[in-house]
Amino acid sequence: MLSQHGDDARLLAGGQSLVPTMTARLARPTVLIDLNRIENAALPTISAGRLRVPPLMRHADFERLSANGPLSTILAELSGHIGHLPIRMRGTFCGALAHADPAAEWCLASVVLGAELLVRSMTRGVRNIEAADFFESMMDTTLADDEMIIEAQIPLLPAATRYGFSEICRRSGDYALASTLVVYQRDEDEMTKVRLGVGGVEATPRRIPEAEAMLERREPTRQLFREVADLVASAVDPVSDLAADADYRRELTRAAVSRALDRSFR
Amino acid sequence: MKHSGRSLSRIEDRALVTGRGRFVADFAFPRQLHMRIVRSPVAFGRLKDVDTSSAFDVAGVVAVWTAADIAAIPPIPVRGPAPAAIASFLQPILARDLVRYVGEPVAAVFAESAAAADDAAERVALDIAPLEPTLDPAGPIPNVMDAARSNEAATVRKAFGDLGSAFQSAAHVVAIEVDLARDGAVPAETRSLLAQWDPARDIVDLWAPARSAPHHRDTLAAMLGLPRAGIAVHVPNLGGGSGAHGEIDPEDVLVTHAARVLARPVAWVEDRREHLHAAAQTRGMTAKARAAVGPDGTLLGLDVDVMIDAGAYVRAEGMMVAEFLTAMLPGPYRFKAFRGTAHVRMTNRTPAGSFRAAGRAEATFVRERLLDAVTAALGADPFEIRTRNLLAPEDLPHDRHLAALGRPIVYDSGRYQHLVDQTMKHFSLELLRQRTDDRRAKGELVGLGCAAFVDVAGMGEAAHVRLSVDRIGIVEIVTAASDLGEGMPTTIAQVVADIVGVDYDTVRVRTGETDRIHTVSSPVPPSAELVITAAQYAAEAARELILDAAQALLDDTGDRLTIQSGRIREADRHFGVALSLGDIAAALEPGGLLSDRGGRGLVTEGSAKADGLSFPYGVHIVLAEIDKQTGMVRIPRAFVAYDVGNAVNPALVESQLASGALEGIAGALYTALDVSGLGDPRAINYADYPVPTACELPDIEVLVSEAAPTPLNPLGIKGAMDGGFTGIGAAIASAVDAALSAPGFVTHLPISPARIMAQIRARETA
Amino acid sequence: MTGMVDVTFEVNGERRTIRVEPRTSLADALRDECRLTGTHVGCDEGVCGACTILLDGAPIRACLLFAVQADGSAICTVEGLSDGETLHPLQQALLDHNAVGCGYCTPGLLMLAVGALTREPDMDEAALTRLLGANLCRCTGYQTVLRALKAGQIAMRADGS
Repeated sequence: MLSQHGDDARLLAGGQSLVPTMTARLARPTVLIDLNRIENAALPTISAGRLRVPPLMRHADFERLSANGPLSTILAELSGHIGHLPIRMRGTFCGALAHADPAAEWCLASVVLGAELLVRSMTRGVRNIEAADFFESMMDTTLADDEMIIEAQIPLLPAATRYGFSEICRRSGDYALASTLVVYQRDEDEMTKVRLGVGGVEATPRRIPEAEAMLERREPTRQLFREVADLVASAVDPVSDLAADADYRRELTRAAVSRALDRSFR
Repeated sequence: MKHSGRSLSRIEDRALVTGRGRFVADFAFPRQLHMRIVRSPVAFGRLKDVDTSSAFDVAGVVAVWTAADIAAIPPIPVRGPAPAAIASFLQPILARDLVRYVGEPVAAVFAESAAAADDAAERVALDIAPLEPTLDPAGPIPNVMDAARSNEAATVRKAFGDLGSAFQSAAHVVAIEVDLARDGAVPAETRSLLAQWDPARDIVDLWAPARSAPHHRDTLAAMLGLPRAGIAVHVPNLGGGSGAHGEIDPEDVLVTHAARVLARPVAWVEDRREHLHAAAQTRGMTAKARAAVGPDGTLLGLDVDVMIDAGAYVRAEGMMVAEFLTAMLPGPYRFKAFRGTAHVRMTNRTPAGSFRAAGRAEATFVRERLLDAVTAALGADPFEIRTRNLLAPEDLPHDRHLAALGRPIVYDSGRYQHLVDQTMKHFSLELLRQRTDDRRAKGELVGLGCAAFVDVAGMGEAAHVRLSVDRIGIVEIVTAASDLGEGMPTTIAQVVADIVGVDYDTVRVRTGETDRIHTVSSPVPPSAELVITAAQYAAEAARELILDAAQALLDDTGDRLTIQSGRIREADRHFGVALSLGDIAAALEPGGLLSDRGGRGLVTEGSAKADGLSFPYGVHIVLAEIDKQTGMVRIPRAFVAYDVGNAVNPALVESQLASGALEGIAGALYTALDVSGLGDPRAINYADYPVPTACELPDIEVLVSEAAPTPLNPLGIKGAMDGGFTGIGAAIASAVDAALSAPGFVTHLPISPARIMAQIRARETA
Repeated sequence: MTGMVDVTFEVNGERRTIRVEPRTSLADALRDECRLTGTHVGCDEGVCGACTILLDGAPIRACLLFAVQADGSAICTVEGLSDGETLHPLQQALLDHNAVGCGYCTPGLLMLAVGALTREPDMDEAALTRLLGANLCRCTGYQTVLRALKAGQIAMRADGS
């Protein structure tokens, strides 16, 4: 159906973002394809060292992931930050990625955790995209009109993983004005395989390689964390909007990075 | 069982918790039409053409009206006194030649379904030549862009004493400039209306969230050339009555008129986006204030000049905000000379209405900011400065020969210092001050702020209530006054129950009905206190009637009868003959034993006329904590002390005060209705208009004081009104200054965290 | 998207078939077609929570779901909470704690709390506050509601409901 109607059609998963846009008459699809009837599309599986997130896995489903290990802990914590309970009961992981709000927790997580997305078109079949290449600009992705995310695969994390997440909002449940997720391995006294990304700051979430390099193979200290926060704050090019102008967002980026790093060290 | 003075649960809540409450949008009639308003998308422009033809392509469209279709209907009048020149500033129902704000109604579409009306409204083509909008209320006069009128609609002046000599003799003159962003009540329920014309009775029934049902009826009747008896207004449950609901808006006129013209029921339900830019807003103002101060911090004089952003038209509330703002500027303080001037300025913004503590919150913000500036200039203590200048009990009643809307501002009763002392003691605030100072000394950004104020209650001129008892003894109270969701029916039931001798939860209270009781309208709706007083009088008359009748029926000439739980018996006897209220009612009806006493049954009326405004007063104190990394402010503790004279239901007073305080915190830290440089609204949905949630707000600590009952009504009640709101913004501003150790930092509400962050950085680099 | 669609669901224990446009939200369908007007539409964009209902037991925003999507589901609205004249413990708690202001947001708050406490009966105060953060109220200031939720939570446990 999607290949038939292309631009006129939209896929409806949780609907927590698409429906209000339609109510406001900002989006006006002629065809709306409800995915909620797809069988067995809500249960995650694990294979080849990856968590495989199906299209109808909802935010609230991450609260109690059956898989043990750090990845589940991280995703469970992040899911608690998404909107409020009624939103989490409906909204989906894959839907959030397709919606591509730069402040969305799952967009940041998929980039930082190196998720790979399987997208499928009726005519061209399945292709894989790295999450980092998926987000093009604000609310825009490389998804073609006739494509759908059929799965997100997130690599599992080893037991020695440390992580920290922080998001700065005016109100509980709001989209973050700035957020940070940092993940690394604790190797003796050093941090290795550091991944640090910010969301809600620029048009798309992204990792900050300079910050990762600065942390890699270093001992975690408050002093270092502050320096990294300063570095990230100067490395980003924040957007301006009603809720925060670029200067203020830069301050909030510094706060989010520094808090996420502090939390990783708890 | 005595009911008054007790925190009883509300009689109106059972329906509300079971989903059986009835809000206007919950009513529906067969064949009803749905109205959709086509609104101006630009702040200012010449309306060249409105093309409605393609709207009719949508199936189900019945009519589309433009200004030409309702040319005979006059603009919306102002309620209450206003200068005659105001006529050229009134709003037409639909825009004619000029559109003057984003959201101004230009056309009205009527269709078989809400969706069809929406679809058709999108097809109405507006040809508008945009003009440069006026957005700054403090801009120059005259407004060259809008040649039809000046941009100062009215100037309100209040004064007493010799200002010149006060400033000449001053040891210090302290001046500030402050402003408030626009905001609004933004209630949970958007505006909604339903009108149905019954040709058989020739009555339009209008279900509306009217603040004053009789005023709604009379104004609409006058505008539409109908007799008063041709409109019946019904005010059902109302979703948040703090200002945005209940004035005559263009939509009220349109649905009422359309119900007759189209001979179909007409429903209108505003959507949230519409509400945020088309419903009445308020608060926007800039002020310049000066204080003349003696060497020891004694206030000598106050001089304040305010530019009020009244928006594109002067709406129904007219001069209310300007009048109360200026008249209440002096507050609870003693000084010799005062001048308060308010310029009612026109801008290309949504017409202003009112919101909690209208005029008084603005006055309190200006005056208390000025007192904080005096404190800083003298290096004094903020509590000390206020204490030094408070009016003493012997100064009351206090008459400065000021008036608001023609009503004298004479403080009736008050023990201001007593309330401050009680507040400090009750909440152990000395300890909190010390702790806060200690935390600040350790580098935390925390501060306490306070504000003292006098509020106004007892508004409205008159209230009328009818009490009747049926043959099974059920007491019914009917009033045309509206229930604003703040517990008035319960309070009335409590007062009536004690007097008539029944259980309060058996009393039925019908509010907001114009066709159940004869009533005339007054420009200002009666306060709850006035309605309660009227109910008290009706109940006292009923009690007398009941006991008289019982004496006759029981052949008891003594003075020993009492009424308890609806039974009348001799006070000292627990057994023996007893009558029920129903027996008395039946006896007084035609065919009854006492039908010769008029045969009207057990019916009484109570009317209360306002003898004057009463003046409750309060102290608000808040603790502010600033997050050093984000500049965001948190209010972990907030104290509201307020004297209500007497409280009929303390729990309801407390919750009303707490809710006011929370809306005050929202307006001080979160919400505003700003526009872009083109006059486009910035907040178009709830994501942009961040109403704080349970997670952001503290548990308000409330002290309900009953130290100064008003002599103006027999119960001594002043009502809680907006007493939780009035001083909160000022107190938060003060606390944020203290937390930042930056006196005078806050000059604007809501306080921007970005500005705080910039201040923190600036100080770090300095 | 035009044309009408039949939708069948169970509302408060009663099986209903209604005919709606595909673009009709579940909130509007419940109000207009089922005449269950206790579900309020305060913003129509999923923010205010006044339209919260239970869909197959889960608290959701009825304005963010199309009625057609609820086909085959079991729905509970505020009208279905009480057992005849016996109020649900949370309804009773709101009454007892004077936790109702204008009452417009009350049905949504109730359904949110019932749904959440059924899912997770042992929420602590912090969790209840976060939960309550989902819905907006302009009258009560939330604190009386929070106290009521705590009392209702205890009563629900005692009730086993």
